[in-house]
Amino acid sequence: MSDEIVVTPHAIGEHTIEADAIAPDRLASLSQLEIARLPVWAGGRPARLGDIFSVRGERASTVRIDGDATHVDGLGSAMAGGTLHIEGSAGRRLGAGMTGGAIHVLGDTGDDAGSAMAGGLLRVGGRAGDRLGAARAGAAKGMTGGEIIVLGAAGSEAGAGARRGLIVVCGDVGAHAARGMIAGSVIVFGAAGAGAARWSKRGTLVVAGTVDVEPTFGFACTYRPPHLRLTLTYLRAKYALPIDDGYIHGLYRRYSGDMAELGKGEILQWVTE
Amino acid sequence: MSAAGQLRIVGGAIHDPANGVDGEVRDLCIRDGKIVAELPDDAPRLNARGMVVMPGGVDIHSHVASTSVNQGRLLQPEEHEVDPEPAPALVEGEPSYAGTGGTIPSTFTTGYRYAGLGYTTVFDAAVAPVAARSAHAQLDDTPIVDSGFFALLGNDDYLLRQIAAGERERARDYAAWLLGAAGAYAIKVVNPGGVALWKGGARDVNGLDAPVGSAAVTPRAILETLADAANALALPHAVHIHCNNLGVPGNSATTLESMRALSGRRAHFTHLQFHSYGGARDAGWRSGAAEVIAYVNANAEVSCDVGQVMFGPATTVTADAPVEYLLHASTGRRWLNMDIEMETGCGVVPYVYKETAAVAALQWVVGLELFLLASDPWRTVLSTDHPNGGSFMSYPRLIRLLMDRTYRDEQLARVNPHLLAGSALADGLAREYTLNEIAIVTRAGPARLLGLRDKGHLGAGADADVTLYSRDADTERMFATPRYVIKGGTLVVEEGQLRRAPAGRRLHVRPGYDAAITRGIERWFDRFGTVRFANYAVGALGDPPVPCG
Amino acid sequence: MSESESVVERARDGESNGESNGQRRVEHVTCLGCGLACDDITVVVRSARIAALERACPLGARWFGDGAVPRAIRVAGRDASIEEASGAAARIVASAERPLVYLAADLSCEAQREAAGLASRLGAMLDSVSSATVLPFVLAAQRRGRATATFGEIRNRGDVIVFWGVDPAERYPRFEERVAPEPEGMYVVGGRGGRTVIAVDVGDARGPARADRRMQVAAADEERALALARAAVVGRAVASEARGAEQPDTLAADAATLADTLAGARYAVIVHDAEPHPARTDDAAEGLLTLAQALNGPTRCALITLRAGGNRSGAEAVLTWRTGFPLAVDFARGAPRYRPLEGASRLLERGEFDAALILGMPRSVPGAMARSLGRVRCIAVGPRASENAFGAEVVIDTGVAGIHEGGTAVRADDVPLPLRPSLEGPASATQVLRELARALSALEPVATRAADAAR
Repeated sequence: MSDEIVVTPHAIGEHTIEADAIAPDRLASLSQLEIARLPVWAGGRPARLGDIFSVRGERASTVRIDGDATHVDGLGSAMAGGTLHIEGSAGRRLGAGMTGGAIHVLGDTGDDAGSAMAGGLLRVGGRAGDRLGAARAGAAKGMTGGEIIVLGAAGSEAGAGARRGLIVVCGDVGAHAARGMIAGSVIVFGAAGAGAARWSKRGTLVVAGTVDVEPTFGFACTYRPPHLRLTLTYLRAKYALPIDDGYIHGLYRRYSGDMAELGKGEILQWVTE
Repeated sequence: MSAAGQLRIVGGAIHDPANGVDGEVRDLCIRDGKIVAELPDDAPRLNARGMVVMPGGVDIHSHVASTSVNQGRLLQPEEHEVDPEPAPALVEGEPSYAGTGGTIPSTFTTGYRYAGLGYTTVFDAAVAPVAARSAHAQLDDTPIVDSGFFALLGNDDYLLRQIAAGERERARDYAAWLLGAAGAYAIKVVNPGGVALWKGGARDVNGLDAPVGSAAVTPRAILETLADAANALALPHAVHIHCNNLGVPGNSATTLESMRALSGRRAHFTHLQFHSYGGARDAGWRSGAAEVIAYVNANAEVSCDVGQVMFGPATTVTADAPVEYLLHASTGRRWLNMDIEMETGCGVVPYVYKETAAVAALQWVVGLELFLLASDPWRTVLSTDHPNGGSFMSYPRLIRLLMDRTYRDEQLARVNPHLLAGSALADGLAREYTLNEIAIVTRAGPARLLGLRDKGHLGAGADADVTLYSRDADTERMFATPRYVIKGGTLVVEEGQLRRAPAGRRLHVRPGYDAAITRGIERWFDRFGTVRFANYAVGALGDPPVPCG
Repeated sequence: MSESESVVERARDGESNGESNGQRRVEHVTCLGCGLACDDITVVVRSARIAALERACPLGARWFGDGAVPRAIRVAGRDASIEEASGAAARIVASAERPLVYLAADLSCEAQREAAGLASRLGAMLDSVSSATVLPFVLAAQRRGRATATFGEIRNRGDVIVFWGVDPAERYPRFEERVAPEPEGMYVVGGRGGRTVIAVDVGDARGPARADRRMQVAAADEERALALARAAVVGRAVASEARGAEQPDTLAADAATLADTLAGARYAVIVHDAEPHPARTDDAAEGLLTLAQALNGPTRCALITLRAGGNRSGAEAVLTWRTGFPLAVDFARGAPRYRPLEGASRLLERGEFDAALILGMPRSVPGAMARSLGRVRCIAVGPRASENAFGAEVVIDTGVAGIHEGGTAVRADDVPLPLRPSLEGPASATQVLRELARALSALEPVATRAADAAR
């Protein structure tokens, strides 16, 4: 037993690697040799984990990817516990369908990070791709629980179809953030792109920067939302996020919508301190 | 062991209720796909000592192959993604195909899984005749099981027009023509008149005598016309009826009225559970199972299948489109509706039955009450209306609920009791189904009700569709994992593993009719149709029709 | 109907006049020139060529042509027998580490079923043209469901017909005549006169010229307009003073008027085209689907989705029943996985495939993809396969499903129709694929590949 298992990419060639096997709870009971024998896929071709990565350590619930994994998809997908540290960037579907545990990425992530996530923590130091915490393709609902923190920006459809859970993006988000949201919260400290929260039934989209509010959202009031104060205070404390007091105690314009759906959702647009 | 040819199954306990055999230990002989009385001593043997031997299962009401079912498949990629099914490793390099499961598995997976449960005959209960070609293609891709489908006819505009004109003989001839044109096996009625009204803008029908377009066309007239047609044509299976007002509190009154309307006529009432609720709209739900099954018990011409609800995910998929609209409107779940070519409708809404939900718990109880209060298992068939009440993969659990009171009571204690006051099951029903009764409700009974003379029994001349189970006190495990399954003489499951996947046969009828009526039908197509009359019939099928009469 | 019956025999029940004056008439032929699949075409055959067509529109006439197709079978540029070519094709795909099976247009459902079987056995990626054309609509319909109907219901019930950004006269020429608004319907007295036609111009994607009413929507406002209409239908329209200042009120007013008209219909119909149009965004599908669904509260409504020809809808139906997914099905791990966001063209760009089996009409393969295919060992099987632009190593020309080959095709509204071949052609695609499947069975490694992957 070691403190952690260190996985170092050493033979990533021309093909994208799919490595759903690299999830801390799946590795936690395995020896170094057994880990190296786990199946991965290189451009759709079967391979062994040891062909692509060198492995140090065994039988630990902390896994460290010691290098850049931009071309490695599916890391930590469906994980239920343990901790996964990625010292570089990660590919697509990082933490997709995860139900517990924590993933910390120093760099960026590709598309579909935290897709249909049900629990746990996904923390991204850089920027996230499209469909952060969104539904799987064609699925009726997206994220059903857990927390996603992105220090950079995120692409389009962040939080699309979310049913529960919390997504925080410190930078801008692309088009269609919180699209079709059923419930849950998406908090954006930058600007939100076009079509924000369209087709959402319930849930909250908070935008500190600019946002074009869709005409199927109706202005309700300007106020200091107490629930947001609690959430932001919690986030600042738990994740050491540099959240300005001006946001925590600030005035927000509240819009209700999407009136084309249930109309029980809201966009909270920050106005002033 | 050879795939076909001869086989002597030695020393199993035979449960063949159609031939009065109840667990007798004796040999069973198979030659050229049929059960035979004797075989030479040197014929290959299969040791079945300690095993229970039954005819292959017969599903009288399932949804596995129609454009509607396929729309349901299309609708839920996420349930397929979490249930991948690799291709089984068959013997002798026979090709096999990977697929996905979920509540509506892909076609090959459907065939493999049914066979894996020891079922060898399956009927799709709802096919729009205009889309019959697609149903046949899907069944062609559903291996192992012999299969067929019922043609939806209770809301067909041409038929309703004949009823309006008082032309019941022409309606009968039309039904006969349509069954042959579609390659169907039986007449299906879904919410008689109600789907036609829904397409015309009304929400549903209001009682058995409510007019559907014309005063002469009522649910009652539709039921009578089609029950009489099935009987006059001497179809192997009676008219297969899904009553009005499915899923509505107080609908047991409609169900009983429908049964009385057909009094004296042979008729099959399907997924009776969904039609046996007491109470009233806006005044709460209660079980109406006791009254409904009492009528069935007392009237030998009536048969039913239960349509048990099983807790867990389901997909509601039905020609009863107005019901699906209501389910969508009340749950907000995604919804498919397709109005089909002046013939019928289609609705799909994915659903989950939760034991914590009061109505789902009541539905579960109502189904079990129907089973446990039924006095004649020959007229009470096991079904979940797959995938409406739950997957066919839950049949083994349902069998355990029927056979094992302790288990049943444990489950009952877990469900939401809110609507169960006064229900017979909550008051305690001691009955436990015997193995022979299970053999009746899962094979012998449905085969007889379907008029399949060579199925559902193990007498000489029967199809060699045989399932062997290892005895197990856990009857769910026992029925979920047959040791051997033989289909038409071919060993398809050996030691619990699927080893062969021969194609099944198509079961269909081709009743006679007055050929003069086709001129009128062709004119109808020319005037209102978007498919040419000449392109409507599916043409010759690979298997000969099952004879009528 | 068995594959072995001769074409002429199969066509016989479709013939009324039979052979006379050296010409043959084949009636009730299904045309796959577009997704309407009109099945009332009469094909007049003279000297083994299509000499005339009755009731075919210009699109159909172009699709039938004179029925002449090349009949080459080649391996590495040399003429070969069908057995040699199938054997060579089987060796290529069986030895590939990462094969692609791709369904282009003009295949029967029977051929598509064979292809799906091959893909499963090969552990291949299985995809179709639909991934590159109608993916946004397919995904939105999966997320939300849809309220739709077959053409017969529209013909007989539809009294308010909205053509949303589509002029059928251009892309679906017989829709107006066969479905709506022209025909007399069982419940629509007076045909065209009994129906209200609303043309919605979305950017440069214009509705029909002859409409009773017209509405204009900027391409960028398309989804917004649909959301506004749906909000009006469900009775939650936002008062103008509560809306953001920069929103144009005319759009909301137009959407509300449209919603009123539709809600006042007995049976409203919204007709749209799911195929790509340069003037449209991909975002409209969800709005169209949900607007039509919502209209089933106050009245009845169906969304009619128009599709291009060559039995594309058939590929989605077949793949769905064989795998559970309509397109972009990956068998690399044994059991199918759904990868619509990483379909064949993206994986091809990434250089994943080392062999590709391209089935159907090569010119229906999207251009960018055809170019990328040049880098992969390709097998082309289908009508005009020998005219492929991607340098296929094995080429087997087949007939065109519906002209030379029988079987089944699926109309855009999911109604299956028989195909009535009017001409003898080269080997049928279904037969070639069965031959290929037999050739595969003769090769050892393939039988175990999918099983290995599953373990």
